[in-house]
Amino acid sequence: MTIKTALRALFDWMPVIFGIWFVAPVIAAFIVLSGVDLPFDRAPIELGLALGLGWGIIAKVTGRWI
Amino acid sequence: MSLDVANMSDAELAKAERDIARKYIGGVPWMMVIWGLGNLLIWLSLWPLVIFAGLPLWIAFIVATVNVGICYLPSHEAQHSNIAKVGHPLRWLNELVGTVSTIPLVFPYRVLRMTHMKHHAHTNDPEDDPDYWNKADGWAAAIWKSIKNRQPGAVDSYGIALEKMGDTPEVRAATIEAIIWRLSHYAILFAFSWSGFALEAFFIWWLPKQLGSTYTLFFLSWAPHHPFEKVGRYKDTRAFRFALGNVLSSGMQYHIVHHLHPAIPLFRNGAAYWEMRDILKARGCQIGDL
Repeated sequence: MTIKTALRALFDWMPVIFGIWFVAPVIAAFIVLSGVDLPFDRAPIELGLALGLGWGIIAKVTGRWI
Repeated sequence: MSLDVANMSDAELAKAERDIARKYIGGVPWMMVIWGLGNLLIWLSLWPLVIFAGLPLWIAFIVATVNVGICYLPSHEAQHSNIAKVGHPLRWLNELVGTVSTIPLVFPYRVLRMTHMKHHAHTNDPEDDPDYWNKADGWAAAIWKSIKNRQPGAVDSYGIALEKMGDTPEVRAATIEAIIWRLSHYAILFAFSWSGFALEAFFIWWLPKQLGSTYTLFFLSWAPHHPFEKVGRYKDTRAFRFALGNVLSSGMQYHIVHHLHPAIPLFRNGAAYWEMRDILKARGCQIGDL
């Protein structure tokens, strides 16, 4: 695999990576800030990861976040 | 002194225009240097001020949004070598301002300079103007278009413009620079977010970058070239009056002067415009009610 191919794959998957590594902790931080307790004693980052990953996959497939 | 433009030939109009332009060209535009470097320092200082000194995040967000919104213009002067030409002792300063001032916007200088020269050479050409992708029917459509153009699946008009330039050392260097900038931006956002500073990363960089990009594309690209239909020296850019004033339009009310004489620094475009307004009118330029 050349560097070019690796980089292309990296940017191709960037929405998913971004969803996990940025959207997830940002959502978790907003949940903490709001003071809302999640059901079933779930941690904010768990919901953040679920939403961030899901949104990232949608962004990768559709090519748009909004 | 008013000119009798009605009785002037093309050559006389061109000479009069050049004579006016020449008066506004020259010297180091120190204001743009201070603006570029100072604005970056203020934006950088927000991070420790919020994290260590308790500056409220909402204040940092407002300041950061302004920082990102105004960071492009000093780099733009450098792209045109208006701070110092090649061979000038201060050429390093031109390149420094051009390179670092757009860090908050995450736009690499080399890419900006190369694609911006294409924009000037082919303004409003659907095939060869990288900024043609900002064409939109009205102001609301322009804002929406700029957001759509930043989605993962959007056309990378600057990437296409670079590809069209061929596989040259300059294009390779610009491409590598763009990749490094983008990956570094992501890496910094990710590192802050997973270190307990997700809101700081969001409100000092990510959201201001989105707002600043939208503002910059609106005023620096869409507004002065709308409706993106005419080509030619006196037709491809317009003067316009912005209801909230020239400063809030980033000086773009007079962008027509920049396209005619890119060597005139931003803050002298207004004075040059008013002096050459009759000539521009005689040339059939779109000057609206300005």
